[in-house]
Amino acid sequence: MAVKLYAAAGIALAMTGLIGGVEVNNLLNYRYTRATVLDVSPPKCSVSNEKWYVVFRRKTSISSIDCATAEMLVGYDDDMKGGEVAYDQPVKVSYLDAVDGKTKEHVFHARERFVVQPGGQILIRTHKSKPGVVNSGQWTEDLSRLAPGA
Amino acid sequence: MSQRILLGVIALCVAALGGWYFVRSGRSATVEARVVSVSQQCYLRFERDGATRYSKLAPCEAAKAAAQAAPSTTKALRLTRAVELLYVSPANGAVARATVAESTVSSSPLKEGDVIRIRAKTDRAGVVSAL
Repeated sequence: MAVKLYAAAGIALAMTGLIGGVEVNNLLNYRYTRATVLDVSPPKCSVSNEKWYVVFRRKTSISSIDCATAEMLVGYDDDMKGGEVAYDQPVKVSYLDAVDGKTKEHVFHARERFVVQPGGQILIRTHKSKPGVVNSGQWTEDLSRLAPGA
Repeated sequence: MSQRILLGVIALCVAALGGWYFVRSGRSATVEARVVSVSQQCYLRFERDGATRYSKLAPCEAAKAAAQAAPSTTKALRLTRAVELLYVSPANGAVARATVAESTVSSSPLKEGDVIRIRAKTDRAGVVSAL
């Protein structure tokens, strides 16, 4: 029993430390940078759903599906009703890298419905000291998060 | 005693991970959305050799015809109602559009011009869900 508790505590500590380290790294080393959307490619979607049958779980998923169909499957399909739609939409942006003062382009994959049109602006997370390094998953459309004067 | 400490450590870690997940999943706000269109379309669901495939959305007449023409296999015609919503996103204050299944945002049939309440993420304009 004690060994199991030590193992569980160890795993919990390791996971917390790993995730905490990643978050602290993101918080300390990256900052929001204004970026202009250059191009938004057509999205591909996948749908996944989990159903519990008392004690066992059945996971159903389908990938590379038309997004309009995917949105309907989570509303009407026997297996997918209540599931989640994941988008994969390549978005190309340009931004001014404050580290070296150069304008750069970056492509990230939006995993949720992306509604900003080319020419619109979003915020991405760029590294404070390494030129060209972008934390791709951390973009936002909330421009008020930009630090004053940035 | 040491068991209590270990349980405390586990509980703290679980609480920290839960808090992290809550923050990362993004906060959302309740917004009003106007239904700008409701469209009815169908798709076919095929089952063969234990695998399920789906057709693209099509007008229901065309989907029915395709179902009759398709070779013998287990297939089902599904009717969908897609609603296009127009709302002011709390993420950027801009007007955004999203097309979702009617059944995910309302239990009763919607019509053009209806106003419903949905949840919209405060950091990404296109992400909406039911209340």
